[in-house]
Amino acid sequence: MVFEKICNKTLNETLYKGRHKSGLTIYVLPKKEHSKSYAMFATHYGSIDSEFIVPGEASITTVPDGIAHFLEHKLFEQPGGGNAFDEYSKTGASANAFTSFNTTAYLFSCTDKFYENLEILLGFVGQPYFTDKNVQKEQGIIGQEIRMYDDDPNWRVVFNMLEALYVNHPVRKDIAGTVETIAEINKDILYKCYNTFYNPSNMILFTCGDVDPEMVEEVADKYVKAEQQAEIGRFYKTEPDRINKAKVEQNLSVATPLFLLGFKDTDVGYEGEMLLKKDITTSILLDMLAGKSSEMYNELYEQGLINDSFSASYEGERDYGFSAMGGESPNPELVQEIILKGIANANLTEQEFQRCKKVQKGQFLRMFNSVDRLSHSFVTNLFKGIDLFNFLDVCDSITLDDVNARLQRHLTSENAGISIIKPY
Amino acid sequence: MSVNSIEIKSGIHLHYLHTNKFKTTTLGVYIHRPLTREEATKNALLSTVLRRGCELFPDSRSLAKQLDELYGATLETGVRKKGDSQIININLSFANEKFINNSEKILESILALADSMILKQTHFSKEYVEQEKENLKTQILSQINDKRQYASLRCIEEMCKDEPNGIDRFGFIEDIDGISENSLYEHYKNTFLTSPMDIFVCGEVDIFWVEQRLLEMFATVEVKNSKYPKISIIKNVAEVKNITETEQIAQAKLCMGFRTMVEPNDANYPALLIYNAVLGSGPYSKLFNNVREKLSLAYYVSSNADYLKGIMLINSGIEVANFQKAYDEIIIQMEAIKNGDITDEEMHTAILGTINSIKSLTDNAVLMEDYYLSKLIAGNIIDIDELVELVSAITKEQVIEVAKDIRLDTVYFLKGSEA
Repeated sequence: MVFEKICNKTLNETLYKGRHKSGLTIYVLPKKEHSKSYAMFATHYGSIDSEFIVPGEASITTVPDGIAHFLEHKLFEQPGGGNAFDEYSKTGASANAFTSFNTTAYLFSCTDKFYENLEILLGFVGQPYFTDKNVQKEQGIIGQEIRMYDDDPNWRVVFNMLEALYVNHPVRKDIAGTVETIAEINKDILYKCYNTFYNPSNMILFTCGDVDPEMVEEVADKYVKAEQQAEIGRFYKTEPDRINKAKVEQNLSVATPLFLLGFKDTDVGYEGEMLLKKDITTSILLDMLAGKSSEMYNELYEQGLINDSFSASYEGERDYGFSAMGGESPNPELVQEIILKGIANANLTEQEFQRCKKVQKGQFLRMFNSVDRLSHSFVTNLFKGIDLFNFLDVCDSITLDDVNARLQRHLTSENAGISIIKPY
Repeated sequence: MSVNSIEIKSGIHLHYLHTNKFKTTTLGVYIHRPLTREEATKNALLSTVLRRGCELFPDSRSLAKQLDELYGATLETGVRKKGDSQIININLSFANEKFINNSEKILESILALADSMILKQTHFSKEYVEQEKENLKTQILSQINDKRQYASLRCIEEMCKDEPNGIDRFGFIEDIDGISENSLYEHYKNTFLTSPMDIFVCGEVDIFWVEQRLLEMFATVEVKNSKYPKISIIKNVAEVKNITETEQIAQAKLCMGFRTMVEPNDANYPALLIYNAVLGSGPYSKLFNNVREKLSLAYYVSSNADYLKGIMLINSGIEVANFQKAYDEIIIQMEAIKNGDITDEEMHTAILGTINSIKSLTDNAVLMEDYYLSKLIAGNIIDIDELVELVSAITKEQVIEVAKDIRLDTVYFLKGSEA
């Protein structure tokens, strides 16, 4: 395979990109001065993918919620009763996995024996082993994971906000599913999902650290089989522009109320640079309006209505997106009122705009400090068609007019829904 | 990786962690205070009042604007519990000029900001102090939001009732109202500014220039007692304490507190690291493989040792009804180690995993600073490479010896009150 070499002089970084004969896209970002090397093997498959057409079939397959996450747990299980951790235990690597709305990723970091670890990673992800017995065991463990999140106010406040914003889209559902939905999972459904979404052409291998492209290719040759697959048909329920509910409240054992004010993004359907531009534009906008150097943040803080826990951020995907701002507050409803008023009367200045642009660049630079964060950000963006090496150029191309346009269109009171966690 | 330490003046040291692997530079200032009822609340309050304003940047907003202008420099202030000390920490992180397309003097601006904010406060505004008092109350009360951490916090509180370590790092809610802007300023002037301080710089800088700059900054500072607060390790357990509390929660939390009998400078410290790895650190451990994988009782179960206090905690989230099952299994696994039931693979895995964690520290500036800060407090600098060597040589017999001394002290159980 041929690796394309992409250099970025400002960052003093080089990225190698190539398509393996199996259909797998491989990235190598050498960082030889770091102690750790890192690899992430990820599939473009997450909690929202519960309705799809298997390539070659005619009808839609619908599977229980929480299956992508369940599959993530089960893939560690190996024939003969062992699990992938037994293999890693011989190298000392630190291994993990996660499932998000759009991605399931298996990863490790190590300070030694990188290629041995890479063999383990590609080996176990390529070798599913599901039995009735091991599926049943996992229902108990994941049941406890779900219970843990049920008690977590910082987690609940996010999902309640998504429930407020979304009417149909599966992003409103918990990633792990519920105790009831995971009870419906069996080994046959797991194999079906695995065979559909774990095809190399739907996956990315990202490596970072003291890593050589040719050596990575060699390991891929050994473990990743060529199986060409047609496009997977993905179905997400049609989502109206309107929000679902203006407010969702829940009582939990907390000391002070927690809130998250969400704004549904109705301008969706982009990918690649367009999506990256929207992402950075929205982040600059949120920083100008509600960042620590903004007038609004300081007014709210000085009135004791918010504290240091307050933050604002945007998350944008191909077919959905949302801005969210919140933290702890003795009076979330009043904060909402002040924020909406502040947005309606916002007067964004060129000076503030330039300042917040600098913050974006600094944050981007900071990401390169950590092989973990770097790999994670690259992979999640690659599934959106975004190459992060373009970040600085795209950031430079954004104007104050872009930010104002985004303000008018996105941060409207019609798009807003609030989630509040109150003490009992 | 090693640290290069320079004395600025008595009680004030600069520690340089020189590396070119990061795109940012970090500056960490750590002030050592003994953890006491008298001071704890004041120190916690001070850590947030400092960032509300200073002569150069009179309010939070002007300070935040300056950080933004410096390409999104970050500032964090807080308090940490380390051994019997309360450390006030001020951490700044900022872009290395060479990755910014112009010749802005970021490091110079950061040092000017740090000087004004940390060392040259002239008074504290009543308004800001009152606001931060309210925030501190919320901060103390909100510790209940994270149930896993809250269980650890309560377990330590009960276990170390008669020791400094039992004091909350944020102090006491009932002590907040008694603090005024004047009494806090007095504390700043007479206590904070006269305490031992460690300054860490991690990245690639002209360290001689930084040293000169620090000499100027600290010219007016006189440290009264340059020694760090002492650490005492409790080595006896009269009777196991059992504490059960209820909250409206779905998943119960079990936290078991143990005394390790290992002093911070003990030769057994590397063996304790390996013991902890065999028992409950990560997916290769006995706890993970038995409590979670075999018995399916928990999603998380892990052990953590606090080397500066000679204690170890085991944490797990379980069903209320499974309390006894989980408790018994944890004790069984600990007994197994004591009886020498450790395979060669387990030893090998624990050593490799521990080495990996230690070496990984050097990729994170904040963790590296914390590592060396702990070693300074323990009174013995062990470089990372040296620790790797010590850990590599640990034998099964040494782990068993450590295991034999460990005593259960407190069992804390937080359970749901819903029917």
